[in-house]
Amino acid sequence: MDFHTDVLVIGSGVAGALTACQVARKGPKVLLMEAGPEVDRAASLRRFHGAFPKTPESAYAQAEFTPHPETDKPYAFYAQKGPHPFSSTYLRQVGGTTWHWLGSAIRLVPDDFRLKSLFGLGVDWPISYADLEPWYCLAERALEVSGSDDDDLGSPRSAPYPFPPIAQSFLDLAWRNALRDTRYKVRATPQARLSQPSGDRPSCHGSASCIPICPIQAKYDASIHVARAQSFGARLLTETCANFIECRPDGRVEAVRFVRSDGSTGRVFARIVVVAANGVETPRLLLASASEAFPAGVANRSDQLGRNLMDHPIQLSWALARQPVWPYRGPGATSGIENFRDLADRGANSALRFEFGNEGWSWPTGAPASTARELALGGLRGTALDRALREQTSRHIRIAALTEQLPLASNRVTLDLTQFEKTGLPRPAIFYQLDGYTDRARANAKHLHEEMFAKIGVGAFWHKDDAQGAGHIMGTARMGEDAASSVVDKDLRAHSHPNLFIVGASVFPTGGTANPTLTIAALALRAADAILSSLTE
Amino acid sequence: MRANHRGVSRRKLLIGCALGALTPGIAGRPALAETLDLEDFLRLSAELTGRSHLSVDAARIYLQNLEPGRDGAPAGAGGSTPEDSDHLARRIVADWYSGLTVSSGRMICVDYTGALMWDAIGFARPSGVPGENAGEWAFAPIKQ
Repeated sequence: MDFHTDVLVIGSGVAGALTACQVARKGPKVLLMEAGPEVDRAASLRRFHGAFPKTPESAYAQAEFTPHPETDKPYAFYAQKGPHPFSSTYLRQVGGTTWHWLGSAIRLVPDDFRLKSLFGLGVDWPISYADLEPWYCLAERALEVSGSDDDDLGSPRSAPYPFPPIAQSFLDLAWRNALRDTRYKVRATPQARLSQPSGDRPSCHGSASCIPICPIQAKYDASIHVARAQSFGARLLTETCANFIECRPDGRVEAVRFVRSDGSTGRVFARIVVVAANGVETPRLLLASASEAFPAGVANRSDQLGRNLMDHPIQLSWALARQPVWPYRGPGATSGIENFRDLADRGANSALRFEFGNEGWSWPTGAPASTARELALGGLRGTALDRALREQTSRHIRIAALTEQLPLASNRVTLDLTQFEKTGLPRPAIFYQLDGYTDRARANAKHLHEEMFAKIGVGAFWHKDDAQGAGHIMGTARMGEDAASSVVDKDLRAHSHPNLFIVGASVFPTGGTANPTLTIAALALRAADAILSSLTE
Repeated sequence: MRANHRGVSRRKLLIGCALGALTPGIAGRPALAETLDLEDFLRLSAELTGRSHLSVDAARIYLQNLEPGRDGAPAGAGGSTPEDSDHLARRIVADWYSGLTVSSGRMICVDYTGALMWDAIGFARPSGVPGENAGEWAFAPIKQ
């Protein structure tokens, strides 16, 4: 079955859903194509409760048609080709990975856009912070961000947050007090979760399960804008996977081929095609669309497609505080330290963003269940066990340092042409390597974590040996002025393909240290404007 | 998930001994090991955990997965030792508190929200269960 539309958006995560919504509300006919299924929130919550281990993906069924990568099985989905397994994951379902994102809605800082000019590293963005600032404001409104206007966290603002801040946790306040007279400034994190009810969504009630699922949708997820796009007339096709983009020799996209989970196939003819499939699936689709006219794949005359894969490799550290801090309550993270994200020595040492987790040792050890087992297997029982369990878990703290990973051409997504999934797409292959800049960043973060642990007072502390994936998959279709060294221009239009746009973190030239979703949203809203202008050309 | 016949017999023996050792008032009978069933396991679990309202569904799975020889338990055939009983008792308590058990060498989740650790911890709820009041996490818990 074939479809004809004004705009085809491939992918219904935050980038695709916002783009579809923004375009559809102005009248053009929009088709939103999602490879995965719709999500049943209640069933997902039940699946999470029954899961072991409780990974970010544990709430979601593996679809036979469109499987997704899993944190605890890094070799199952990706064909890992490099010295370090790439461990960040994503979801293929309506709403995309916003189902299991943390919800931190942080802007990049102005210097993040000029890393090459200011520090001689990576590349500059083709746009400035000032260019994006109005779109950040719109993105914060769209995602209904709760934040404090008392501190801009290094990112100047032209509008207040739509909602007052989410309360910092007792644990955050313990950190703030302990670090009060130090260089570590503990600040409330802006978050895309409601501090007050809005529409039919309640305010956050501290379900302590932002990753993998908010049971009451107080945390934003992109299914909100999928539904809103539909209310403006957009048509949603689920379990429909784009697997080839047909281009004319002049570069214009002619049609997009798809296959559905029932095996049926078809094509979509659209005036504009928007690929919004995330940092792995976007290059996967474009590379798989190689043709005689575009032998290296669509939007790849620069040979940059799939390259410059970045994450925010995390140094994870945890400790047993001397005093109770009452973790395992509230949203996953409500505070961080933002004043290490733009220090003067950034040319030599990576920017760092510190995040305090409210979920105790869940991430590093699987606590509190692991603590309960350890104490019980150690022979404690009855009131002694209850007392020890309460006493220990009340003191669990952890810090995660997000580091800035530089874009390396060798870190890339390619195709493993020996294995194909049911969608007809080849398996994504990933070469991933952490360089000395990241190694130094993690070593520095360990040192700083220990300094903070000493201030708050801990009985013992531990560091993860390996970098943890942040789930922030960036850089594989970078934007730039020069068509010879980038994939899309500053409006996110693909070089050489006038009716093809790419949205999502894949277009980030560099990654800074901000959790990327708010920037993804701001860029998508900005691109929607360019798409609407294109439709009138 | 079912243990094999030999495993079940030995498991019964161990549980019977554990029950006898730990609850002499109710289980001093030699024949108990041969007749032990879910009800006995629940009674033993109640004694070990100090909780009277335990999930029968969870108990069934914990019982099925008590395989001697795992988690360091001696696996030799024949009678059990006090060390066996002690190990078994620890394992039973660990399962009930964590809501997890080891099944065929793999950890599985049996009853997350019903795990006894939540009662013991007191100040936190299972993940995914909303609280009554927004912002309550900013304060020290009332129930400490």
